[in-house]
Amino acid sequence: MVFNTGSALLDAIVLAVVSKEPEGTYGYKITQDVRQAIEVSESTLYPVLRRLQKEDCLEVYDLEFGGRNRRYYKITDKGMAQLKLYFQEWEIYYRKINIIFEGVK
Amino acid sequence: MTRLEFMKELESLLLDIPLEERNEALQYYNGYFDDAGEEQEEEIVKELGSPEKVAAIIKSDLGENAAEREDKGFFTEKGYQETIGSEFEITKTGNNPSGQGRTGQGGTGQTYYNSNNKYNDNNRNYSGNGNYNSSGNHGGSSYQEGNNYTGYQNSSTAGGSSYTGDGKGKNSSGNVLLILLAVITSPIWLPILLTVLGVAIGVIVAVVGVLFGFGVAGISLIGAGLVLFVAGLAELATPFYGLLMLGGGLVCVGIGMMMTIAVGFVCKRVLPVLINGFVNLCKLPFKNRRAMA
Repeated sequence: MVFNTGSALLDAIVLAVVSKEPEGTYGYKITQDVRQAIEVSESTLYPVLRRLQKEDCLEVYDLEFGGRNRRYYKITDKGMAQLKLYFQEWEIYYRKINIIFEGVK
Repeated sequence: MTRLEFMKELESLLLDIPLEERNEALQYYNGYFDDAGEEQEEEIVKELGSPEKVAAIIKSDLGENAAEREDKGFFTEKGYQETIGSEFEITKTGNNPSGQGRTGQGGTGQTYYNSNNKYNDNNRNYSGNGNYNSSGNHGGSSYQEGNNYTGYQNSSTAGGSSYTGDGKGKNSSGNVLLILLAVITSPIWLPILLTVLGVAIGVIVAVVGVLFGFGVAGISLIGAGLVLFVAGLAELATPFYGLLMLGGGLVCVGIGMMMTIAVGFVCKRVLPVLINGFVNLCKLPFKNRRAMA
């Protein structure tokens, strides 16, 4: 991908990905999901998840899976509000960009 | 490098961060390896890059956490610059293979510095275009408070803007001096200027008056000539007077026409030149000043 993803956009994408799993999802899966849209290395997401968790946008809980504890991430109300904010801003942003790109093809 | 080696090295590299953070990170990556499955291990180790790099990313985010949260707002005025800074964060991680060594170095710095190093790294890794890289570098390394964007701007426009700024400064100070000088020397040049102006206005009025006079005279002559001519026609009963009047009338019309034509020519050709000359004369002081400045 030629375009860089800003950290806010990355936050937004992660929040969106996590919000799609009402029961919560885990690091590896989040990484795979995010990678469907943008190219991120496996090491990118841990700090993001950790930070979102500290900001109370995500909550974590451990659940036994295959004989070990797997850490699940779930979106909080605050995270949901943040995500909506991001989404609104994103809509404005991509519309503006699209207008500028109009006629290119 | 196997998963075990990787995790061991990561752990030792994270010894200088709080225990809680270390355990969190290790748990995450352990879980990550578990979820990916054994057959993926090698690939993930490869893609994660060096443990140094992973550790540096973890630490940098910890270090900048406090500062970053304030600058975070993506779409506020400050937000844009923040985006530039953090763009690199992602770029870097997107470009693992080339950047490992450098990030490792970055990891040994101070915490806040780390984040800057990280950005720098990134910029270099991102092999797209040199311009972008260098400006990003600039922002990352010298504008700690998160003014990456301003840094970026500065670096790109520094040459041009300082130039014009300089020129303006000289201009204004020069102007002030000139005005001061003008005020001080006004007793000398004011009378001279007024005299010159008076003479010029006098000349113009005279020229216009003369031209006007000639024009009126010409037109009157034409009118008188025509009247004479008509009267002469009426007097043709007595041929001598009649012909004299006709002839005199025609002569008058001829002279009048010549005069009006002459006046017209002067008005059309000569006056504009005179006026232009006068206007240029008036403009001279200002032009000079402009040239001086």
